[in-house]
Amino acid sequence: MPEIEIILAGLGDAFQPVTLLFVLAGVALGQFVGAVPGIGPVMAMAIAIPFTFGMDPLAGIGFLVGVNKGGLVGGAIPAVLMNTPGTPDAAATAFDGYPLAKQGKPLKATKMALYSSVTGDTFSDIVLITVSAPLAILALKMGPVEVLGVMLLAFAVIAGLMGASLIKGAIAIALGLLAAMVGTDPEHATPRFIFGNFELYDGLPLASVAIGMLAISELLRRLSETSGRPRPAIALPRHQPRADRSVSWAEYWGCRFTIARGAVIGTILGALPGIGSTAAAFMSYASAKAASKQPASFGKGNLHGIAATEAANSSVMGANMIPLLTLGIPGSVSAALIISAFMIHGVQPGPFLFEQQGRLIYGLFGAMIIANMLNLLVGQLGLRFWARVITAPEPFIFASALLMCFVGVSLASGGLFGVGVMLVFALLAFVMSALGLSVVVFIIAFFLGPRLEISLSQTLALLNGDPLKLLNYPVALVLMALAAVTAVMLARRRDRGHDADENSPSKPDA
Amino acid sequence: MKLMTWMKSAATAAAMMLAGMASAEWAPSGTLKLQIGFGAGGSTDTIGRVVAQVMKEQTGWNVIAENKPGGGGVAMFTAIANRPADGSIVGLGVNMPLFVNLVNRPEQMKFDLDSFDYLGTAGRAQLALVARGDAPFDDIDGLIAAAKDAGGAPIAFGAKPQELLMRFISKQAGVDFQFLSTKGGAESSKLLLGGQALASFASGEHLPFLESGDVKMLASVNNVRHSYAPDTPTAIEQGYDIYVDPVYFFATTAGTPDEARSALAAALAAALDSDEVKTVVQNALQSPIDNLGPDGTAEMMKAGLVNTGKLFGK
Amino acid sequence: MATDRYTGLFFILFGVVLYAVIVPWQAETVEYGWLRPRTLPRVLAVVLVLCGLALVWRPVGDARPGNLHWGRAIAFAAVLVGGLVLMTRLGFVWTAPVMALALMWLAHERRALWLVLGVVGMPALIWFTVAIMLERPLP
Repeated sequence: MPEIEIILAGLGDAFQPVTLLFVLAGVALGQFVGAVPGIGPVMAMAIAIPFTFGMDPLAGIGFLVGVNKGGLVGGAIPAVLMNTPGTPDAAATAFDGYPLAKQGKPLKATKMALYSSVTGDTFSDIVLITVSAPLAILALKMGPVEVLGVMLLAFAVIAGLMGASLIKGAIAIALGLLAAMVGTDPEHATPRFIFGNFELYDGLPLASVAIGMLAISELLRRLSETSGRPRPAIALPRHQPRADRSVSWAEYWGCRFTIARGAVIGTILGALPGIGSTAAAFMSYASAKAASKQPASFGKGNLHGIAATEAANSSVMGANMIPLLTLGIPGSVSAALIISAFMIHGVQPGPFLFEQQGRLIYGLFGAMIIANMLNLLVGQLGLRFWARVITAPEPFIFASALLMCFVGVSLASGGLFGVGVMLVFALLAFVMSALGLSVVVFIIAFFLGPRLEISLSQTLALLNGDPLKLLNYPVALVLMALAAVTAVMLARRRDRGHDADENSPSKPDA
Repeated sequence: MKLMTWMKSAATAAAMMLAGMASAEWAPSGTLKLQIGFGAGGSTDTIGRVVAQVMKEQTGWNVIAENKPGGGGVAMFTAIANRPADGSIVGLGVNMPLFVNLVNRPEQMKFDLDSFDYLGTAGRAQLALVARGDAPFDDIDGLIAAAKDAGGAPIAFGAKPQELLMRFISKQAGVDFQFLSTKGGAESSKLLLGGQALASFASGEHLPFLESGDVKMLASVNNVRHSYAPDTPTAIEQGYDIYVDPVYFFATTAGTPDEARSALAAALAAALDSDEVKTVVQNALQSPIDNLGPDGTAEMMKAGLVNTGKLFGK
Repeated sequence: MATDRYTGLFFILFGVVLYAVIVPWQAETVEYGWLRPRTLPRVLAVVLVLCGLALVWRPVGDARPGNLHWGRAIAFAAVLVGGLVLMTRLGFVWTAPVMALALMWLAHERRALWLVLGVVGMPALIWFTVAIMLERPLP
């Protein structure tokens, strides 16, 4: 812990008008670009990095953190308003957000997303600022075997979201994992399923698969249903009561346990590098549903569903900074982008970071908290803007969204090859949903697949052929046992009655 | 401060004149694309973008940076090898992924080393074999002795060539290692610091830990010692005749007209010599700029391919 | 029910082809290590065959392919694929307006103002933002 003067000086830097301005610009840009279909928060950061070359370190990094935090809020907007999420996390937001929007309450849904996102984010930032050092040491103790345990637990919990049929859920998982195996295998780095395309050598582009399956297939379905006179994408009642345009304190407070649970899940998984926000978002959603007195209302516009997802996936980012700042280990793609921004400015995260760059780090902490506040302010304006935009006619909205997805994916994946992949997966998702196979489960398995396979490989190497060595990893054993118990419980509940799962979000229009 | 700014602009002007002279006879007919063989946001992307930016300022050409990810540059270089040699596209990639694929699956590759005209290098990733600071050994032989005592040792590696280098050593020394494949240097460092791996590979991530004493460096596994650790010998010097030397290099299509080639090489050299690029590359790679020039790059590529063949036992 | 049975049959066939043809063709053999390149894909192939069998034996019956407007969906998909092909040859600037027009027209938009906004306005806005402001190459 550096001296108090350094902390104060750092916080003072954060409140310098120049810094404030860049953080504000970052938040606004992040919210806006993150909300554009096909681009999303990670791409927004990657594009923003070169702009920070010439800035001074705090302004540059504050700007990027702003883009990142703004992007987390922005990413939920197309998911809620159009049911076209650009990332798997946002797909969980769409489960309940889109039904609300369709009922004519898009502002209520997006505001709930904003408030719970900022709450979760602030929680994990406070954890980061206060107890990051001991948490980082704990995270180091979680080796490959323990991470494998977490992955298995995540799969077991997410299996609860699988929809009516265990068999179809298993097919969707198997197909998702298979898609995750395209590229090089983790242990031997040999090419698999690339069919001569070296563009596939690093795996199917994440953006192509996620946007193709989640956004393009939905846009195709909605376009195919247009008929006669074009309707607005979302119809807003002319004189809408205030309660339908905003989230009341009582409603927010009613979600406090859901938000807290999501924030804790997100913070824990975020502090463990490599697991990422997808697992956190869905685990939080599944546990909110399990804890709810009305599980049947999930997927039909329950505010708790939005709160659970957004609190969890936003708190992952603050927690990602724990291993990042103390150990220099990025926990996710966005964290890796922040590290490269640090490095460009000559700051290398590590054990001496707080001593050598204390002023910068406390400036960054200040900027993070400021960014959260600005997120709320900018969000108030931004959400209203998007809620207006979405009342434009469907053909215009959908055609524009498709163009943006083309451009966004070609930027993210380095050309039109990625756009081709996107279209292939859009058609696959279309057929899958017609057959009752869950697209969301496929996507989750696809995103978690690479980490699952590499953890398995590392675990097998550590055990060196001796299963008894597992006894040396008590934490992993507990996690694996938990995974098994969860799986059995879920299978039993499914046996008792299919009715509870009728509203499962596996169908595109649940 | 004023003086510094003035000197900087004077230096830029001088560099522009030099670049201008070099390219007096030739300039790209439209835009010059500087393609980057990796996605947006990483260290290669950073290098490519700052070089493109400075080249644009210095030469006045319309230089555009463009990401072409896929196979660590293999996808990009496949396209570059099979296009007209008009000097309108320069690729920036890392040599190792190319070598690995040229050695292991030459029949699938649509290029070989002669498909390119080499223009220069930005620098190398200084790759180190590291162990925890409290480890009871200080060099490769010490690690081997410890592994023999324990009946094996887990080693974390972030890329195939690193594993093969250790397999080469384990074969020569007659010792067993368990290999933990990771997604890169950061994850390898995590396993090392967390105690799950006894040794690991790092290219810069370890520098703060080296300073704090949490990590010690057993060897440089490049063919030269590292700029920040001139006293730590290479694996070759420690008696293991093998190395991994990842180099960031620039190349264009083979058969590019001489005047275009030399203009491009000169423009690159001038950009790499600027303070802005020097700072950014040093920060991104934790390693200084080292431009081998066109001929030096071609030689490095030839030698590197032979060495990689040795890594794979071919 | 019948849809599920056909789906099941498809996955049995796919699993077998994956195991016997695609994996040997598209995944290399390695002589050492714990998790070989072919291990997990083959496990998944077996899982798919088993799931296919289960689906044939006890179809779930929740597939509703009839709920989708296949004809129109294929028409829109064709516009997207055509747009991609055109974009590869002519680039974004020439393709985007054509693609937007085709999409909006097929979606029954006939009002001139919205058509102009979608066909000229939006592509121009995207072009300006990406190519001019961000200095990134458009497709």
